[in-house]
Amino acid sequence: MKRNLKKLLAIICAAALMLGLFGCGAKNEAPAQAEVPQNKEEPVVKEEPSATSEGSSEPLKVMTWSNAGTVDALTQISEQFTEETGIEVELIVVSSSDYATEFNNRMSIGDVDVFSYSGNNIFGGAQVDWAESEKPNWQILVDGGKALDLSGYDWINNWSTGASVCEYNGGIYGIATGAVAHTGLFYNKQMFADNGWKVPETWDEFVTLCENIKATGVAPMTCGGGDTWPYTMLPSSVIATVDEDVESWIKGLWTGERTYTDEKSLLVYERLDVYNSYMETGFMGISYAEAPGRFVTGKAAMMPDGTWQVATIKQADPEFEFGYFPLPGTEKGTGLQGKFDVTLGIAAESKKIDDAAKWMEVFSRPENYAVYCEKTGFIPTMDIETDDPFLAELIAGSQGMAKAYDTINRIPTTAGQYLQKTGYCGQYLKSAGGPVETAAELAALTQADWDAAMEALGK
Amino acid sequence: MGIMSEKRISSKGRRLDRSLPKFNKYAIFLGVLPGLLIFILVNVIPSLGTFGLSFTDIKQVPGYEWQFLGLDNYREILFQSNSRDIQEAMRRTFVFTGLVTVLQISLALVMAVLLNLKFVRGKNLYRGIIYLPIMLGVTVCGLTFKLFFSIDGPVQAVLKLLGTSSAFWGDWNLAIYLLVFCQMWYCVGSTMVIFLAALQNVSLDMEEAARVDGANAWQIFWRITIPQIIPTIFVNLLMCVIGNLNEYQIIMVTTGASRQTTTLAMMVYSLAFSLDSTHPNAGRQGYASALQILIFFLVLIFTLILRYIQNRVEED
Repeated sequence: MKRNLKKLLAIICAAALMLGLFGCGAKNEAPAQAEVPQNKEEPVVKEEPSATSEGSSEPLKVMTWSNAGTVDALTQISEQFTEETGIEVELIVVSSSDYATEFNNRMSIGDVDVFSYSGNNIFGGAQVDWAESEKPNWQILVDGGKALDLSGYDWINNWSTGASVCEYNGGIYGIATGAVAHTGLFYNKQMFADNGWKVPETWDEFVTLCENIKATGVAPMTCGGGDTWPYTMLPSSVIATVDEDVESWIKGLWTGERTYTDEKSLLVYERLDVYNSYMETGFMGISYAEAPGRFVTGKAAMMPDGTWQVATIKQADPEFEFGYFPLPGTEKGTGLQGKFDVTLGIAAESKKIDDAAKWMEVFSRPENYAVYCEKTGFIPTMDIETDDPFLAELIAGSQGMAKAYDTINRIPTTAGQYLQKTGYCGQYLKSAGGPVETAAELAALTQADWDAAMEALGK
Repeated sequence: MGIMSEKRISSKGRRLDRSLPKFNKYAIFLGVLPGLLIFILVNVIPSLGTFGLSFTDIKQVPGYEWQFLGLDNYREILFQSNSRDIQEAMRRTFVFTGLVTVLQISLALVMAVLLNLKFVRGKNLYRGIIYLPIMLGVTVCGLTFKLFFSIDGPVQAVLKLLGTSSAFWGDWNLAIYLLVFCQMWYCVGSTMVIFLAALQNVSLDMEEAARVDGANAWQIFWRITIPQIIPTIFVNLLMCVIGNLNEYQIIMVTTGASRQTTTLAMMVYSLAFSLDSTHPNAGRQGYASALQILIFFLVLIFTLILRYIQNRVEED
């Protein structure tokens, strides 16, 4: 009897283990997809909700990265949505550095309904005939049928540039929820006023300002270079100080009219070297999350960054007075450049397309969107009124804002490390703690990488 | 008394013989089946999958229509412009693996010998403290060191008192050595425990005989103790080399995808999962798979060399 009991127990344990193993792969049968409107003028009326929208206890999954303002605003809008519809929302917030991985994983298994596109060249940098570059990720997603065409929904008409920039192949595959500038610097207004410093209008004035700040014992600038990507924004701003026509710059490099060692390129490398020298010591070891705190507490007078950091700065010290100006060029009048930030889309394979569309409708209401812009500091992509002074200043300063170099640049796939992102990688210079002594050496190394990549492409 | 116990054992033994079923050789297979299945599912199949994917251009982005590329990824790794970056990463891998292995094994052996001495008091406490980092985990240890060597951290404060400062993780000349220190500190406990187990099995009779013959402490250690723990030294060496050639966790926690600390394993992870989205090859999982196969062959070569040396040493 006792022996039989042991046998029985052993069989149960083995069976449980096997079931556990094979159970992992079990997948519910996908319900029929919700009807998606195809015509912009006459949206299809969806009389029946999707199969899972009422029966499922799963919340609507909205995914974005961890920007304080975005998370705060989306939480507020989601709460309103739940109040109105009774549908629960799970806001999935992922750190910027892990976002690409988690986003791709969730999209692969259909575990997200509303998502923010990953990457900084969203609906930009598409393949062109003059550059043999890879398809950008957004284009792969859309071509692969992973993003839903939103052009048939009524609420899409609320948007101005927010929808038009996401047009592709006759459809609208996302909403750019705001534009941001990232070729400028935040500055400490109080510190500037106390010391009689003025916002510089030319590169020379900027260098003089940095010298003056340095003389007071304060670091002129700080930057979260430890996370790699924050530094890659800086070359874009330095390139704009030399020539604002960045599209022609990039095309010139691909067609051979320009090189990384020509006069303009060398000037960029030299300015990057100067720029690095005014950063606080060890800035390539500071994490991106640390930098705003250092700026707010007065460890540095300026911080080159994107305007999406407004919410983080306000959170760090609501009383802190700050402004934002473009890195000035050789001559006066260099404008801000930037990109479209958080771009929301609906997963085409979502089981809750109707709920996702309802959520987007709530988000697209002008009154909700105004709150979103005030919290995030994004330049609106919908025609709205705002009372927020920083936002009003930003809107005025960003009229006709062009896309920055790094958001439209195309790099050959086989490229070496000196062509990373912009091809003007000042982080390798000695002045940033890197291994390359001079600007001219870095230019030569970059050009060598470019030539090798072109050779690999058979050019 | 002795006869009685023999009888009892003998009698018990007969009873057991009667109760045991006939030996079934297939029962062994049934016993290892669950473990074997898990091993195949989580180890063999993904490894074969990685090998297969290394011949494709598969990307991390869903919806990508991947194609078979043949040996293109390998050709790119070995001969194209980014092969220089891979050589640099390989150099860092060897520096990291070499230094960590030598320092970790040496330090662990010294600590194990000290904690095996009879007159040392509170041995269990010291063993616990040295083993603590393993229990805390790589994330906690990595973050602790990240703060420790941050530009406002305690080490910087000491340096400032001495009139100098450092960028620590941002310094290309220093960052890799900081990682060596962190990894050694993190792993030394587990190596020490293995050495301790071996030292406790060293024949005391032989040591005693040597002492009687007039050997001093160093001679006993070098001539009696070390030869007896040679297999353990090689086990630790092998584990260190394999572990450190594949190490990326502590790098990910402390410096992420920063170039100055990118080893081969870190490069694979960073490219495959777009940890550094600014890299031209970010998200190219086929390419990253080919790079992982390269690491596999490196590990294989080092393992074979170490096994060969071990066999030669043991024969001697």
